[in-house]
This record gives sequence, C-alpha cells and structure tokens, in this order.
Amino acid sequence: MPFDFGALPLENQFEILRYMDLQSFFKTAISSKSMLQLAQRCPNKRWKCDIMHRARKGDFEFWRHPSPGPLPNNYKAMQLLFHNSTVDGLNPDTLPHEEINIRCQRLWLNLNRSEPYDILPYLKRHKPLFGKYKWVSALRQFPPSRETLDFLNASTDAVSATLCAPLSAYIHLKVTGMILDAPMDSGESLAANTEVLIREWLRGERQISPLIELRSFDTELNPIHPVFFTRHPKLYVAKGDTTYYRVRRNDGKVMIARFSLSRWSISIAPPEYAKFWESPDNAEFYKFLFGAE
Amino acid sequence: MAPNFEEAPGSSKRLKEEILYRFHSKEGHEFTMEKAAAELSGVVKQISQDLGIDDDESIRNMKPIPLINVSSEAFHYVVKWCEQHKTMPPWEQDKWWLNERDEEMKKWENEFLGGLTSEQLFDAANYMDIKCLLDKCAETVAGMIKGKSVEEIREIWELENDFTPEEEEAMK
Repeated sequence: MPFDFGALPLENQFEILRYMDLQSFFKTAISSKSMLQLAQRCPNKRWKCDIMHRARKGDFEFWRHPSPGPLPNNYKAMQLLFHNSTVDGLNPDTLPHEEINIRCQRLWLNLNRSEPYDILPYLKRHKPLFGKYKWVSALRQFPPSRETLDFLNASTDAVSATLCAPLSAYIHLKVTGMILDAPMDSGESLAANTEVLIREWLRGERQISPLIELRSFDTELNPIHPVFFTRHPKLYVAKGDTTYYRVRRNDGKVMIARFSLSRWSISIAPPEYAKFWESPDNAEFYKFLFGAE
Repeated sequence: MAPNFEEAPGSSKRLKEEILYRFHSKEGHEFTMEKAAAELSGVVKQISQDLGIDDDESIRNMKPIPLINVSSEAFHYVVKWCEQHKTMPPWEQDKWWLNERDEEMKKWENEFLGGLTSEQLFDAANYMDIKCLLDKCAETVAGMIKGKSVEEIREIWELENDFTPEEEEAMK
C-alpha cells in the first residue's frame, strides 16, 4: 500500500530512518534528492556508528562490497551520506587501510561529540565485542590516536562544552590519577562517581581537590587547562539529576561545571556560556552563575 | 460467585466511577478515554496543566477537548492503543532503548498496526503527542521498505526520482 512519506513532519521522517537497517538506509537515501538530503541531515547516528564499527573491526572488505542501487561500493555510499570532507576523495581500493581507519576514527568521534549517549544502545547491541559494554574497555581497545586528540582539540562548539563522557573517561584514566579510584563502567557512572569524589572532598574526607582535566570543544577553553573545584563552591541543584558547581581554571578564571546524570555528561563553560544551558531561568540560578564567590 | 454486572465495563455504575476525559473528533463525534490512558497524550497533559485541572472532579467537569485534526476513525484506534498501554512505564524519549515491550505486547502492537493505514494514525499520534504510538508508527513505516529495491521504495513511499542523469552518474 503506498504511503506518502513526504507528507510527514520532518521529525517523523527522522524517526523512521532510525528504525532502518544500513542497507535500507542506503537505498532510501539514493531514491530521491529530498531523501538524500534527509539522510545527510538525520541527527541519529545508529547506522553511521554501524559503518564506523565495520572500520574499527578492520572489516575493510565492507568498503569494497557493492552498495545497493547505483552506488559502486559502501565506501562511496558513506561519502555520499556523510557529506563530509573527512572522507571525501578517498578510494578504498588504493588508500592504505590504516589511513581509512584514522579517518573513520575521526569521523566516529566527531559524530559522538554532539550526542554522546547515542552510541550506548549501539554498543549494547554488540556485547560480544564490548563485553558488558564497558566504555573503558572499549576505549582501551580503540584508544584515540594523537591525531584524533588534535582533531578534538581543534573542534569548536558555539555554546557550551558538553563532553562525551566515555571519551572523558579515557582521558581521566590517562591523566587524572585520582579518578582511577572509582569504577567507570559507563558514562553514567563516570558522572556519578566523579560527583561522589567531589562530595567527599567537600565533606573533608579527601585532602586533594578533585582535578578534572576536561577536553573541551569550546574555543574559549584551553583543553590543557585543568579545572580545580574551588574550596567552598556554591552548589546549585536543579531537577534532581543535574548539579552545578563553581570551579576555577588553573589560570584563575571562574567556570561552571554541570553534572547531568540523565544526559550522562559533564559540561564545563564560563558563566556567560553556562547561562545558555537548559538551566532554570530564575534569579537564584543567575545569582549563582554571576554572583561573587 | 455470581458475576457483578454493575462493575462490568460500560455499565452505568462503572461509567460514573471511572475518570474519563472527553474529546471531540474532527467530525464532531464525542469520545471518552480513561484518565490513565488519555494521559499518555502530551497534549492532554498540557491542556490539563494549562487549565489547572489537578483533580478527578475537574476532569469530570471538563469540556470535551477538541481534536480538530483527528478523524473519528483514527481516534477510535488511538483509544484502543492508549487503553492497551495505560499501565506501561512512562515513555523514555531520550533513552529509547529502555522502552522494551514484552513479547505479548509486541504481538498485540504488530497485529494492531498491521491492518491500519499508518498515515492517519501517525497524524493522530503527532497531533496528540503520544510518544509510544509515534515510535511504533515509525517502526512500522520503516518496515514497509525492508528488503525492497530502490525502485520499490520509490513506489511504496511515493517518491519521485528527481536526480539528473549527471547526478546519478556522479554517484557511480
């Protein structure tokens, strides 16, 4: 029975794409111009993660495999869909595998930057590879390369500095020793456990201030600047699962850190950016952001 | 023990006891829906909140909610859907993978949507903002093209191949 796909609101069209397998998605994307544009704009990353997963597994034959429709291979399909200079101009038949891998890794991280929680259900579906979908294990298995970290450092985000929790888990493990005390099975527990550390420190149970070396995507923040929690931070709790702290960068600049368990993220930004977060719009919160310490 | 007919669904006593929202479909037909079922709709919740409806008596006294974009036929199916899902945990929009249904419910949903024209139901779910129904509609529509060729997809979803020959060539 025919179905007028184009009559649906854009949001519904994206929802439908979310339910497609990769092959259906490719075929849909090349069925018309509007569908191609839709596929390129789709905010969901499931099938994109699927493609990256193939690269990470070293399944390079996948790229050469004929794609459905007029596309000669899956790599061409990926170029078309991602519409991204990262993968433009590459030929999987001639490019060294390692180069493809690096570029895919970049793209993978770029995809996860904006929606870190989007990849977790994907990992859950691939338990054999990732065990009990432990982020740390996964990131140890596929640690970001120096080039990837440079790429991350150069990336920008206009408003805030929301971090990909699993990526920060890796960085914490590498850089900030005290976080090693806490088990980090997922982005969720990372946020939770980091907060436990802060609370312990506030109660005087820890002598050393929690130090968070956040890799920020905001040009305002230098990613190599560690962030210290101020000795008596003002605390503002909103909506039960989100906590805000006043912190200080090692160059003295006051910052706002937000822990959001439901978003599985830790964000940090100057107060003038933090006010753009989906935060309570009330005088008390603004006083917290801009008030004297 | 003899069955208690007074407590049966649809009985006058039951109707008096049940907390029902009233609705007017596009055609002007009046429908009712039990509170727990109706509150699966984001629109119902929003309207209640806006009108300060916070107790059962206020719901009983509420005027019918006009659904100017929802046909009687579509609403009939919406009611069935909501009645079936009223005891399910709240829908997780962001953590959609938590919205697992048991096998019995999946079977019911597939049978329910199998014989329907999804467009109308999609429209109704959109208009009334019923997340779980929207999600199932999306899954159903995606399933329509599984395993189909590009040509078949164009036919099923009424898409026009508007690529120029040059653009098609560039994809090769």
